[in-house]
Amino acid sequence: MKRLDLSIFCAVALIVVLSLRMLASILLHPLRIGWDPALHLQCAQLIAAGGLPYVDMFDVNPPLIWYLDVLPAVISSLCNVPVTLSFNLFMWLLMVLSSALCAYIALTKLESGSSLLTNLGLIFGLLYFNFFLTFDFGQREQIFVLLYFPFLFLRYARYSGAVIGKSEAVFIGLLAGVGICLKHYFLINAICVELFLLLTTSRKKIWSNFFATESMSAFIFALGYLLHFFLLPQAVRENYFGFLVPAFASGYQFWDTSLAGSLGAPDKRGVFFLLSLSGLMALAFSRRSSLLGCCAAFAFSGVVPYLLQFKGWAYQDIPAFAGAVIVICGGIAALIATLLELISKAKRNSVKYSSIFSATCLALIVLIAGISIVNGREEYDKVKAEPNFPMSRIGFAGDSPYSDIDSPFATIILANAKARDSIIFIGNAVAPGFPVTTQLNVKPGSRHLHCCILSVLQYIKDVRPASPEKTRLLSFKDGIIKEYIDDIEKNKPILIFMQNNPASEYLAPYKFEQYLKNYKKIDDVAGYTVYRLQV
Amino acid sequence: MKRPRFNLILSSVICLCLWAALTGYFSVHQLLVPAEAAMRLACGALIADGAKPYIDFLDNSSPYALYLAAIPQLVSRLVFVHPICVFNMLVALLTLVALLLVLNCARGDSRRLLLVQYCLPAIVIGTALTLVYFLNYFGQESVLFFLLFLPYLVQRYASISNIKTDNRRLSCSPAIGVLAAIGLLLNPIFLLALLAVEFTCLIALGDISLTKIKTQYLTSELKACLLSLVLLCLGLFCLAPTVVHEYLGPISQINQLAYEYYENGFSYVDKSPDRRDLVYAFVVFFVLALPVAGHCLLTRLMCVMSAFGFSYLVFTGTLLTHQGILMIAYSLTGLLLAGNRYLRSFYLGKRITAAVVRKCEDWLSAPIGRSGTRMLVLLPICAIASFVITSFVSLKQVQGKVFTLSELGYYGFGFEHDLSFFSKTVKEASTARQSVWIYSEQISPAFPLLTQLRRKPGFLVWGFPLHTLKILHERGTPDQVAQLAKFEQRLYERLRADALSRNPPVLIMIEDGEVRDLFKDHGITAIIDKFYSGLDPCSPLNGDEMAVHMPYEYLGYRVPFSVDKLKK
Repeated sequence: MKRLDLSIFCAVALIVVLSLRMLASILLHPLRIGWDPALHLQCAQLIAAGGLPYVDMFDVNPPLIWYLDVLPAVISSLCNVPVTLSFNLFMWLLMVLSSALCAYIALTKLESGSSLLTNLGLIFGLLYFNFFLTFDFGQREQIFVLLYFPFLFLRYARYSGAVIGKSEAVFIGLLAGVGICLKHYFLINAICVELFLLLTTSRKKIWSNFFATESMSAFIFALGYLLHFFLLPQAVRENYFGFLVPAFASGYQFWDTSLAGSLGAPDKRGVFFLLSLSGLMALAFSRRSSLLGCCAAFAFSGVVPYLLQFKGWAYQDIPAFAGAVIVICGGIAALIATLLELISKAKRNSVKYSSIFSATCLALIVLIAGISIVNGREEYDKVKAEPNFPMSRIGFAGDSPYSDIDSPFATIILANAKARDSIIFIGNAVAPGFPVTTQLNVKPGSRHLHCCILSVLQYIKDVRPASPEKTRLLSFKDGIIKEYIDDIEKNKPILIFMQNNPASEYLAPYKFEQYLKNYKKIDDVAGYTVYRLQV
Repeated sequence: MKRPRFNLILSSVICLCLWAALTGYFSVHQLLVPAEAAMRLACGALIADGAKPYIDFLDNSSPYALYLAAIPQLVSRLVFVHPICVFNMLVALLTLVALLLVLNCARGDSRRLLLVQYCLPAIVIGTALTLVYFLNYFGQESVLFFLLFLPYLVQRYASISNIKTDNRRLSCSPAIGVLAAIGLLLNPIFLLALLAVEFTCLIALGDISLTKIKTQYLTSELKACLLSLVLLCLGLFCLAPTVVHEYLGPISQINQLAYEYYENGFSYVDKSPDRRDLVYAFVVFFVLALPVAGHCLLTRLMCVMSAFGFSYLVFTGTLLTHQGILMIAYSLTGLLLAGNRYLRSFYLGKRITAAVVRKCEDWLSAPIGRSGTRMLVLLPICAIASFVITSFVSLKQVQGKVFTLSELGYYGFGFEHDLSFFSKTVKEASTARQSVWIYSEQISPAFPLLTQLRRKPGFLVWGFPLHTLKILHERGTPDQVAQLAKFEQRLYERLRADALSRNPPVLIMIEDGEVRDLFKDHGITAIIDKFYSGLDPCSPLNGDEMAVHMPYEYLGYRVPFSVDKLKK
């Protein structure tokens, strides 16, 4: 088998094996989703139904992820499949697209000799990290990694002097533009990678490389995204830029988590040890492949947005984690390549080297496929052994493992509501209202999908010094409560889940219970009081 | 006469100036020392008195760190200078020695040595900037390791790159290896750094062959380092088997449990120091140095060490400022090495640098008198000027009253501002050499105060391991509790016995909360109530204390301490 054939075979086999393994997992868990992706999907569903962001639904996140999620939301309603499943399939497609593009660039644009195995290792890492995300599958950080990596490969190829076609550069640039614009923090990763590339390569053609087609198309997308805010209706802009953005900017430290809590806590530190290991791998093999160093720059720069976001939430370190996994996989592949070279040198036989190399590649593919099959079978057996949830109860065909939706809130919703009924969670976090609302195909009964904003306002009230801006921001609180009341009056949600602390404390001065006279208190569960509409 | 190498001379000047400046600063601030270093110095004093670590007193540092701390104590007893001052002077000397060893790696006339010489200013400036920025942490374990390991990294770079120093000169490689081994033994986790460095060096050989491994890899510094590690471990095992037994037994178990049972109370801002600025700086330095790491092994080694420093910071779990020193020191040096290359990659930069270098070399090689050159005159002048200027500026900037150290039995002087919190209370209620117990969950505020005022700590040098043992009872498995039951029982028995001994502590200060509750549960509070009279409590949030003393890092809430004085 020719070397080129072998490399194409290996890349395709790798992508097919790992993609099929992921597809099996997605199909076994049609309702599995994390809280943030579920919230974004809900927003996308509302937009698809004609709603306006920050008017018909309130959340502080920038709207691009909602626009992106409109696609799975629409497909879900057209095909009558759970929106969670269509979203996970959408993510799967992104995963396949990203790895296929990276493989395409690695095989056609990059030097295929000594760094072939390393590049295959990097592609393996790009696929492999997704398997560790489970409930963080579908976070914007993951989407960013998947959309950005083909761009990183392409930029590396560009700076290495490869000839890049215009259409592929535009397409990959647009994908990266979407990825970076999902959260402004991601620009830090992109800047660090660009800095690495600028400093690595010679100064010849530096400006033409910098302003290449792909970077321009990413830039144009970002510019278009920024401009689109000016085209949004006045009410959207007023709510977003006039209230939500300044309020969250002023009260963001409500989620205070120290450096020790962000980096040193037992559930978090593993990622940073992996990151250090990836640094060692990238450095040790930096002479063999500087692409490893480029990926390490991406991985290490992921620490900055993680800490800047101040919350220490695990999913926010996904770029650092993914980068670390990608580099470590690439590093292991580089180590194998080094060992193969040593063996072939010991035998003083270059023909032998080629056959050893091919045999090792094939053996690795067989090993990965074997592990995937065994592992997939285990997952299948585990799912089948669990109690099943018939999705006909929420208007879809098929079954799902009950553990994917298992929560006291799901039990209450299933007992009291049917598909498309309205419910409200008044709590100061995205969970537990999400993912259960999205999973069980019920509608949010209020434009306020959660009441984080009330905690933020409380923080501003307690901590920030008196100023006209503080007074202005706090004046919005009455309006929010009124909107809750109006929504309850208008939508008549079948269930209202009221967080005992702190949400009910925020509502207490407004004697909120008087607006629930049509409701009967039916339960008190996990810190929430549950009210049911009396028909 | 040979033309002097500009990079070598520039580095020598900075090196001497740095040493002189550090000596000048610490000859003024004779009592300035970070808490952890002061605590080890107190342990060193106990060792100098004949005590055995982990048997006669408790701390979780490695035995080598504790035995090394006895050296300044022994010197102090010979010269009657405060051990903190001796310690700082020794660390300043170590800085000089480490940098001179680095310079020695580049001495010679071969063209290939120019490669190392180009790197020297970056290394020396990186070291100087780190030490100056972290001046309040001078003498911390991380600083010592950085200084001890730095020459080893440069020598490894030279060896792997097959850059030979002048054969006519005495090779310092064995000494470099020995110093590196001492540094590695300061904390067992540092041994991972050696593995990372050696892995990188092995791969850097490129075309790995047996001949190459023999000639370029297994060189004298590596052999000396490995041999020293083995000999030092064997030596300790033979000379103090009980110490090794205790360290590898309960102390290591407690260290492991402390890592496993992470304290979630740290996770809120304002209850812990928040040096995310250091992490941001590390990421920027690392990313900017990374492009050069592929071409330059020395930059690569610095980046490897900075990545190790980052994982060391995360590993500590407490993320105090001094735990980030390694990360910053190596990444900054890596950045400066990379910056040097970036500068020279620009045509104009290269031309200007070359012109400046040539001019300087000409100027420096100009003769003065019969056998001297300007260079030989310049070096001592710069060093003396640095010493004088730093001492003068330090004296100008000092705050608070000055006092003589004669009451502590030493020559010299100190400043109130350099003393730690609660110094007034401890001074009033006790005298030098008396035993004083200050117990809280962390090393501060007991240290550096006790070392500064020459008070003896108790069997528990600080709060270690009270917190971990408490957590163990709450969250540990029955097996884990059973493994440490004897140790715990012995600990409290020893505390009770010490409190009732002929020479009990004259002053006991206990932090409200966890430590107080534990002492109450184990009958120590009852002894205190019986034989001690209560004084006004001390609070680290007291405005007077905060105005007089330098702030210290502390994780969690700062709560008051009860103060009890031995009844006459």
